[in-house]
Amino acid sequence: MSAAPWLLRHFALGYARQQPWRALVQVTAIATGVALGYAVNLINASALDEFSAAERSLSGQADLSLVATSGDVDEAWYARLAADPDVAIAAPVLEIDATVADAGAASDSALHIVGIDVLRSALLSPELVGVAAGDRARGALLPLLSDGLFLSPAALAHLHRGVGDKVRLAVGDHAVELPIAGTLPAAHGAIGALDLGFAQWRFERLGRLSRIDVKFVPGLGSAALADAQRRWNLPPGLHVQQLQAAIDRDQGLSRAYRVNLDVLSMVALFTGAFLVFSLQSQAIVARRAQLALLRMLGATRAMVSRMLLAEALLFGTLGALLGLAGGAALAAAALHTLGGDLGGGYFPDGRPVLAVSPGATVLFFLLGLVAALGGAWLPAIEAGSQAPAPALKAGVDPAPGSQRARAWTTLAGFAAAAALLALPPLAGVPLGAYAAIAVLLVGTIALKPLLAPPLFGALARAVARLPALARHAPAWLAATRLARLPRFAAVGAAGVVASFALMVAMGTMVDSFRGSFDAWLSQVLSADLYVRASPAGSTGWFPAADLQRLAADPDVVRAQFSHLRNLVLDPARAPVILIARPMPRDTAASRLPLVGQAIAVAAPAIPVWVSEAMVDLYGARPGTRLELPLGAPGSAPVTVLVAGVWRDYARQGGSIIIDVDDYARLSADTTRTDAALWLRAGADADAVAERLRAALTAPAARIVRPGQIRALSLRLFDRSFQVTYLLEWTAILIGLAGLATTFSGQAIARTREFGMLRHVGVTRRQVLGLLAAEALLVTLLAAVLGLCAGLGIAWILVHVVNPESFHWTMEMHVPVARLLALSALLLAAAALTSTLAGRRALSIDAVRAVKDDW
Amino acid sequence: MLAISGLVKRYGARTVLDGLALRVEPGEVVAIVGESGTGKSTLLNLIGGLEQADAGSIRIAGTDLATLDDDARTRLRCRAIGFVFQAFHIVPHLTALENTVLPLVLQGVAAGERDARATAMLAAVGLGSRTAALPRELSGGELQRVAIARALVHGPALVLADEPTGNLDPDTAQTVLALLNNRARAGNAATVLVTHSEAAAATADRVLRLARGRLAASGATAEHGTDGR
Repeated sequence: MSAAPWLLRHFALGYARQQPWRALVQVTAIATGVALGYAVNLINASALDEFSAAERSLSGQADLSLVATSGDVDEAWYARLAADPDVAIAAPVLEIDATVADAGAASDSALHIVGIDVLRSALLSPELVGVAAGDRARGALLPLLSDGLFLSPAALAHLHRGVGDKVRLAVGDHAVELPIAGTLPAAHGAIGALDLGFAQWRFERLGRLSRIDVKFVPGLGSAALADAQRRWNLPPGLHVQQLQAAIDRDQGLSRAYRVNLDVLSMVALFTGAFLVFSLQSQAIVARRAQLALLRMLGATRAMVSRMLLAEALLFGTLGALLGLAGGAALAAAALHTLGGDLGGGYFPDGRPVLAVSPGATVLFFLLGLVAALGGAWLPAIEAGSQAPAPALKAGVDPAPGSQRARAWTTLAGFAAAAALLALPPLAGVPLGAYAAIAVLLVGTIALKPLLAPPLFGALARAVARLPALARHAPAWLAATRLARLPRFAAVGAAGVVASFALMVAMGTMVDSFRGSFDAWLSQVLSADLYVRASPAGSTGWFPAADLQRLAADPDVVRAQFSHLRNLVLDPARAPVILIARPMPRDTAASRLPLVGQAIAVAAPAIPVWVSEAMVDLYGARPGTRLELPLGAPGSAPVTVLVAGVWRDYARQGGSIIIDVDDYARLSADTTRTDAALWLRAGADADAVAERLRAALTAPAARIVRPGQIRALSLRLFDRSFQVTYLLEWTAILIGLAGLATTFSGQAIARTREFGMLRHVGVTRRQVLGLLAAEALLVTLLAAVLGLCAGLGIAWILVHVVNPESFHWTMEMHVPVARLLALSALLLAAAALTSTLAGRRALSIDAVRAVKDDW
Repeated sequence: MLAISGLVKRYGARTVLDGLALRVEPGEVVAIVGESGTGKSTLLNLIGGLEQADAGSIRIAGTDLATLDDDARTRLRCRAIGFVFQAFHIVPHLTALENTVLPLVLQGVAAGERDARATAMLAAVGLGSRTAALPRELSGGELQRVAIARALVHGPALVLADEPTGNLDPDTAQTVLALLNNRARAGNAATVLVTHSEAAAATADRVLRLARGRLAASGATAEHGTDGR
């Protein structure tokens, strides 16, 4: 019969029953870590599910879609595809991004509208077939859709409208008023649908389509899908796209953000593992003689180690289960109250339903177990390998481990971090950099017991030379103890080093990012007023008369008009933004926040300036050529030359700046979507904005001052990091809890020592001073190491993680004052914690304390 | 039962045991006395397989410890040796019965049998009515009785007792010692008793003095000779 269950039940758990706070703190730490990680994952997954469902609503059961690389598909392609005998259903679709142009509409009231052929789309995308007012028997009688707009429940809620109301939509340079004829009860996301012909007519897109959805006859196989491009002999500018590829592409935009948040959300669990390490190490010291007795009585090393690991596994299981329940509840509450967006702005709409994935649930359960076992691993191995005979001698602390081993661990950690940094990102995620951060932390923590003996030894010697040693006795005793027992110095604050380092790193990274972002805003927002024809992007433009009005206003000394549009350079990636604006060849350096040197481009070559993302995603370095699909489908792409790289914090998928005259010549598009206005000195910008607002005929034009853009941008920036700060502070609290429990446990375990000190004349106040001094010294070393490691991690975040995740660079800036304040706060918390723990230990009578045996 | 020859143990340049020899027969109680620091506890650690000798051999029930690895020595300790300590070393959160049952648990004895044997052993040391008591509810003498019960419950061939009465008053010490010796003899276990106490040593069959790394006959038992016999 195996001794393991008995030992776990009676020996290990008996100790847990004796010191329930220790088990409680371990379970709570794991539960908190799992809950935060699981909640963030669930919220992102739920938002992503909703996002995917919305995309599926639009394309339904189609095998693939025929789309244009840029612009529209000619309707003639529909007849050609429908005539293909292998095509079972071909459904033409026109997609329009409109702006709700009603007076008083919120500035972000954009609406995605889909024009469909009801009889065709009913077979492919039934969610887009509306239910007219009074017609609840969906599918029984398809409404003709010729007289109005059908809105999804999310769109109705977003626009605060009901069936029967009217909605005024701005597209291009004019607006259309449509009645709301019914609803799309099963559609996801905020969308509207109407009859294709009606949409083409009302939005002036006759003969144009956004895409043609295709379903092949059954049994045709995947070969037909792969061969579709050739089967229809598609010209340049047209391509086929599978729905899943489109979903993957669009989800890819938020992948780096989600992974970053997932990693951050696990910081608390990571710190929790260090707390388990601290508590287990401490518990093993406290049980040293008991474990040695077991070894004396015949328990093997493996038996002792396994018993302690089983104990940690039990706590881990309990913590992980509680964490999963807590995480699910937290996610459900967050989705209900805040929606699916955690600040990044990727999923701003809707209230996604909680989507629990069995895979993620199992993953986070296992992560909880890994954290518990990882934290308990070293102490358990150490407990199994300790020599039983000396351990049985009362009052003898464990011998310090091998300094050489620690030095090697540290060096190996730093070398591994450097090697991991050199790894390329995996699927756009800098996994090597994240792993480097983890090993850098472990290496730094291993450094602590290495530094403690020389540093605290020197301090003890220095204090011993002070003239009034009696007055400094607590400091001398504290420094001597920490020098001789480096293990205590290391174990107690391992979690603090980890959490503080990550706090420093995140604080520094965010400060660097915010500083660079602010400087970038100052550089790119040099005009006095900005006017946009439509907040819904490039689907709205200024009528020619508006351009005249803007340029001719008496207070406007300079007007710069530009055109923004999406360009698909690679169907597997999100579109890049083309910005056509006045950009004479030799003015880029003064007008753009260039990164590195720009090159001179001689005519007739056409220069463009690309964002950093273009370099990472498309290899568009200065001097390379790019082919831009600026003309109509079927026309040859235009070759341009990359003249320089600029910093663009607004467009993660990449952007290209081209001179507006070059653009007009190459594309024959003379419309303008944006204007920047410089006013004469002394002009009242608000009055000018008011006057222009009244004069402009573009139905959805928005006029804003740069200060408003800056304030809004910084507010969005700060919001995007609020969750980050919440996660970081939780990690710090877990780290402090580790420190508190270590000091508390140590103070209780040292009641005999304190009793002895009281016997030899040390005052109660001095004993408390001793504990506070120990806490301060341990935390000071932890804070210094945490600062060093944190700055190293910040460097990795700034120079590796951000460029690889989001494709932009920034200047590193260290918020010295804030970090010093944070360090002071940490030290104060540590001193307070240890003193409170000491008071409890000193409440035991000194005479009884020295008689206490274990 | 226990046969030691040519035992050498050094700590750095200091030789603690220098060619020590000792034989202890089943049922025999041998007391080892000596000044502090002469290596008495080291000798017990070596016999218990907790430390390794630099030279010489230790045979327990015919098995040479030098041929065993750590796990094998641990198994031998589990099966064949019982320990009694000066500081009792009773696990504070286990009851008297649970403390006593520990060696049987480690041997994998079935629950019913191990509880019956431990209960009987506790009864034999006079604690039949205190099996459910926690250590904090027991006196020093009772704690040492639990330790003796734990040392003998698995029927060891060898009992090693390191100052078993060091923490007890003289009357209790005499009672506990008599109990230890009697139970060990009843179980036919060889017993090595390390002590400072002349009174404790006097209860043994032989008394040996450890000095300069070797055992020598002490006082009344001089007839046993310098080889420990």
